[in-house]
Amino acid sequence: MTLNVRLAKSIMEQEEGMNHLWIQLFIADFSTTEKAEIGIQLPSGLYRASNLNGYEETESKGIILDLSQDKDVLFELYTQSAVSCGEAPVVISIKYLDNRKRRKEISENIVIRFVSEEEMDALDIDQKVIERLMELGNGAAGMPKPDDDFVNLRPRTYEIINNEYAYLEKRYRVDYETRGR
Amino acid sequence: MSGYTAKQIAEFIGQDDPRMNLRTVRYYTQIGMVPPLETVGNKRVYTDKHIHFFRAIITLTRTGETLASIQEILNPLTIEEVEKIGQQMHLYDSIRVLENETLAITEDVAITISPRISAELKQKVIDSVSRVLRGETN
Repeated sequence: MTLNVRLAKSIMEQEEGMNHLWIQLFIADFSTTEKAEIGIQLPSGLYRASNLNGYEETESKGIILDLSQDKDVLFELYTQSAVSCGEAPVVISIKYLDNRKRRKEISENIVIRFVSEEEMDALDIDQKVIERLMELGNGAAGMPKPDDDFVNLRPRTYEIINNEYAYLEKRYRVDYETRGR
Repeated sequence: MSGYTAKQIAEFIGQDDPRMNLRTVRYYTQIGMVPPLETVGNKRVYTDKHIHFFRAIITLTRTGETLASIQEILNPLTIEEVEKIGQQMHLYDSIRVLENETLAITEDVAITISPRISAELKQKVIDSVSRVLRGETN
């Protein structure tokens, strides 16, 4: 198994910055493993939101993957108060059982560069990561989550039909009758 | 043309939806969800046009669209059309959606009514609008 790790932005703001981390998994054909757990170690001052694919996360923030169908995972990374400018590593590890049921662990590092807002002109965007972000779920994926889960609700819609039987609706519609009392 | 900083935009749009914070405003700008910033003097600034885009993005987000489809929807539109989408944002507040009911009078006309409106008044509104649509004056 190999991991391919990419960042959406080559540099990110040291304060109130946002970036996305995309991890792609390439599993050898001979592998029979199905379950795997991904762990991410972030430098101080860099945080991540829950994975945007909607995979289960453990209490220790490990991401549980079903390798028979899950081939990638995407995260939002962000800074809040200012962190020191410069480079810091993000360490990604994946634990799984190989085809002989032996425990295996692979790690990959990717360096993240924090800069001041004035230095952001040198930004390069990895369009492949952005394409994946845009494909994944709701537009809210790119926005920080509120405290409670975001719920999409469609307005309740009733169709008023003006035909020869319309008077029946006026007379018998439950909400009309009950609220009128 | 009014020029705004990212922070000003976040404070302004954040009143409509607190999730549209400074990080998100910057990010959506960097990944091309909104048009490129305008140059005023030697500074690049946001304008009213960007406010319309951010509001339209919030509105479409609330309807469940992906960022990709939002971008696809907004790209060919005129700024007036983008502004119109943003003006409907409040119709998709979750509290409003949960409490209000939307009555489709015809294929082209729908009325959203809050529970504060009595059943009698609601019926009068429906009847009045229906009559107008049928071309009746009284």
